[in-house]
This record gives sequence, C-alpha cells and structure tokens, in this order.
Amino acid sequence: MDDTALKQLSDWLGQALGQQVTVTAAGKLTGGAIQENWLITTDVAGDLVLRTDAPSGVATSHSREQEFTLLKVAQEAGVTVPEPLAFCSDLAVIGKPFAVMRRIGGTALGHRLVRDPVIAETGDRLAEDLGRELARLHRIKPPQSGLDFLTPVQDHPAADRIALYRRYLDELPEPQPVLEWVIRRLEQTVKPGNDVCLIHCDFRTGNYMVEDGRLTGILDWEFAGWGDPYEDIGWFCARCWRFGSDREAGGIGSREAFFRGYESESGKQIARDSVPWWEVMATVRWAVIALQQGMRHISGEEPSLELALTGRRIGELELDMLMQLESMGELV
Amino acid sequence: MKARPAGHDLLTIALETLETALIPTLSGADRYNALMIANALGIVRREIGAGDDTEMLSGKILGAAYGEDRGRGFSDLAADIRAGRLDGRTDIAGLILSLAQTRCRLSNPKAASAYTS
Repeated sequence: MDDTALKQLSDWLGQALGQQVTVTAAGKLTGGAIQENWLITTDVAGDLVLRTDAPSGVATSHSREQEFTLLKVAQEAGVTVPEPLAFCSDLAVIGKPFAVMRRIGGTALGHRLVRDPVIAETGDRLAEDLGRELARLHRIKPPQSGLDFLTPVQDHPAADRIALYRRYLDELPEPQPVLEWVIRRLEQTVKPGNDVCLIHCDFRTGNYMVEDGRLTGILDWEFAGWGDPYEDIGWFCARCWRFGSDREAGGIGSREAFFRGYESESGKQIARDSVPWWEVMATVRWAVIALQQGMRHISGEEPSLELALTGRRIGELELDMLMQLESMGELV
Repeated sequence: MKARPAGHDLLTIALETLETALIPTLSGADRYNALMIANALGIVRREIGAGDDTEMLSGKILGAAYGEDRGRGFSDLAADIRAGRLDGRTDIAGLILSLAQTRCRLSNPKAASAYTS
C-alpha cells in the first residue's frame, strides 16, 4: 500500500473505531490462496489484520462481509476468535471490500503445532479447550437473523453432503470408482442426525492459532453453515488432519480430551460410534477437494507443483477411507 | 538400444543429490519448493520401477463387474456402484482395496506402510 492508501485507511479506521488513528505500516501476511491478509500497524489502535479477497478469488466460499458476520455471531456465542472490529464495503478506500480484526498471536501451522514440545506435554488441555469452543459454536441454531445467506438444510445434513460430493464428482472429467464405492457405503450406513446447528466446516489443526500451547483464536470462517455437529467433530479427528501425528484429535491431543471438553460445555454426550462415519465423510470431502485442486493444474488453468501434488494425495486419502470403513466392518 | 545410465538410474541419483547435497542447505520457500520437487521425483521413480500393477488390478475390477464384456469401462463402473447395482460384492470391494493400497504405495509409501506395520 502506498502513502495515499495508508492515509485513506487511517481516515476510514478513525471513523470506524471512533478515534484518531494513524496506520504506520501495512505488510502482506503469507498464506491464503483465496484471501489476502495484511498486518496493519497503528499508533493507538494496536496491531490489526485486514482481510480481503486475493486477486484470483475463487468464488466457492462466503463473501468477506458474510465471513465477518459469521465471525461476529461466533464471538457473541463465546467462541475465541480474532475480535471483529469493522467492515468496509466502500471501494474508494483500498479498491475492494475488507474486514478488520484485532491481531492475535501464535502460529496456525499444523506441521509445526503437532511437533511443538509444549503441545507434546499439554496437548490434551488444548484438545479439551477446542472441544469446549466447538460446543459453544454448536449452540447456535437456525433460524438466526443476519445469517439468512446460509443455505438451509434440504433433506438432512448427511444426505445433503452425499448429494453435494456426487455433484462435485460429476463435474470432474474422470470417473472415480473408489470414491463412488465409499460414498455408496456411507449412503447405506447413514444414521440421520436430528440436530442442526451452525458448524464451522473447516475446524481442524491449521485453522486455529496457538501461542505457548494455549489457543488464541479460531480462524477461517468462510465455509461455516448449517449442518450436523458431528461433521465438525469428524473433520477435526480425521486421520488426514493429524499432520502425521498419532494423536487422534487433530494430531495435538487425545480424542477423549477433545470429547470431554465438548461434553462438559454442551452437557450432551458424544455418541462415540457416530464419529467414525463422519471421519470417513471428512476424508471423502478432502479427497474431492484434492481432485479439484489437481484439476486446476491438469487443466492448465493454474500450473503449480503444489496443486499437482495435492491431486496425488488422493492415493493416501482413498486408502484411509477404505481402511476406516473396514475397521468399522462396513467395507461391503 | 537405449543409452545408459537408464531413466530410473538417472532419477535415483538426481533425487539423492537433491536430498543430500541441496535440501540441507536451503530454508524457507526454497526448501519447501525443493521438498515438493523431491516428492514429485520420488513418485515418478517408483512408478517407473513398479510395472503395471495398477493397470492389472483395474482390469480385474472391470472383469469382476462385467466378465468378458469389453465394452464397459470405468464410467459404467462408477455409475453402477452409485446406483447400488454392485452392492454386496465382496470380491469387488477387495480388489478396490488392493488397488488403493497399490496406488498409495506409489504416491505415499509411508502412509501405505502405516497400515501394514
């Protein structure tokens, strides 16, 4: 951002926060192919994060304004998030809409967190805290004024997911018999849940910040929507999100610690035998995303070694889902 | 007659040089990119050395589903699985698992061996 942009941002921030603010520096943070995050240093308002669309915005998630609304709803429900401060839809300020949050400390990098010596000692405490956070989010039930932009559940959440992933598979050029087999088995073994609530939909290691072993905030609300609470629980516990660690809750703690936190906050018992079905579903979802990302490379739309290798992760994901079905006694 | 050293040999020594001489000296984005290159070269090296087990298993799956009917392919297989026409076929499930194991050994042998150890 040049001096004019910094001045405009200072003026806007001053109005939004109701005090005279000068932005002293703005630097782009790494990570985020779909979003751009900027660290904004100010004289009196502390360090802030400005979040906006990346130039090649892939239009598959909520808009930045919707994401900001979800962040506020989560914060009001008591979920630990980067404090949402203000949203700007005036294109005259930096040229596109953006949200401003208070900066939180720590790292979100999954590979680093699962090897962190502090977390090796105290990971169960972190898992328990994350369980409590998730339970707070899941207290939010439809309908909610302000969240009208979220798609209502059509059939029941699990059936909606099966239909969605089949639609995604139909959009790919190659048939995927292994994934079809697993989705068919999920369809035949589904236990329709009767609980619909606000789910994060990407609640996993890599999407929350930790400093000195303590949670500082849950990030990336762009996929949140109405769904089955077990979808978040399965996504968090699935083997594909453990970053090579053998600790079953997100690679950072034990499954029981995570469940304990969730149960103590929600007052509801987690049906242990309902979780593996959603872990298989999580692996299916990640596999479909991996195929879509690989296709962005194969099609020539975005040649990238990282996307190409993501496409090849289908090998381990297919094996994970089949082995988990087998351990459940549901392969056939 | 092909020139030697052969492709598999060249890839092996290229990968070894990358991993022992180059990657340890790198950090940050350079290291990340070099690790991805090593990963990609490793997959290609294993595929060159592996023969065509995945082709063989894929053929067996089609054979189990359709017998001698050579006109049916993977699109039919995918559609038939989805429609439930192959429900309960233990033989096909077993072959699909073998295919996934074979493919995972090529793309990520560490992940594959986690299930056998």
